Amino acid sequence: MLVQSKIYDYITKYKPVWGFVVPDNCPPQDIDVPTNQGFYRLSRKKNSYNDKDFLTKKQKNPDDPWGDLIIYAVGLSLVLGLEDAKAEIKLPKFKGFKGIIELVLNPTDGVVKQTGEYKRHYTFWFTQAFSTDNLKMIGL
Amino acid sequence: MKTIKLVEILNYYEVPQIFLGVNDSGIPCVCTLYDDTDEDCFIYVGVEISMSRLNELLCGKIDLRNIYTNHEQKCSLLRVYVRYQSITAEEMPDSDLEERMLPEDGYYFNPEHFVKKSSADKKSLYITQDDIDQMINSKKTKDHPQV
Repeated sequence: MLVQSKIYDYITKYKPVWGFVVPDNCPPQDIDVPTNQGFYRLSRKKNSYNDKDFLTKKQKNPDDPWGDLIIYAVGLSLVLGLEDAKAEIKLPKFKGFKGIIELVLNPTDGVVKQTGEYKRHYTFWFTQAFSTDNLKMIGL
Repeated sequence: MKTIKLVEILNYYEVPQIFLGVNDSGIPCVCTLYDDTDEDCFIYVGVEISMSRLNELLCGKIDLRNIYTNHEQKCSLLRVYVRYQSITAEEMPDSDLEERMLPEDGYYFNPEHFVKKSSADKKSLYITQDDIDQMINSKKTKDHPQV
């Protein structure tokens, strides 16, 4: 479940310690708070994942001139449904990707927001409480 | 080199994976990312496309791969270079189309998955030339990493 919220209210209630260096106005004012909400992220390997699968764009390209887009670069791309993730892997950029990681997010993990014109794409701003241990892998 | 204007991002994951553009002559083109090894210049495979076929694609009636492998006779394949705030393209002979540039079979758009920003008819699944013109002319909001 996703609950619309203001970031101020989220911070007041959960007092998150973010897992990234927080730029100004990040996360954005209007966000969704996930509760037992599934999302999916692509993985290079079929049955396992590692830290590289959770690098943000900012971590991959720290010197890029992000400008106003920095708030998205510090988050992670997720898709909402398993079928969306399976479709994503058909694209040429992901030819080497063989697995899908399922994340079930809760309020202490961070917040999300649907970003861009593609409704199934969300940006995830994670807290230090978000753990990538013992996530479920879905092989293809 | 042709110049391409961004119309709409059709799929986004980390970076724009597929986008709709329009060339100098106003012809739509669908561009799919295949090479992002150079951080300063992402390379997409593009194809010019008629409005009727574009609508078939966006409505999920035809496969994304099909628009490249069976492109319309008068429409060119393109190699599209996306740099910081500039998109250019050069025509590409069919013989240069490689498997690594192509999506796998079975990638279909679902029109319900788009946040339709055009004003014409928000319930319509179809995109019109007016929609494209309007999207080009409208100021893009910065709620998303753009190409």
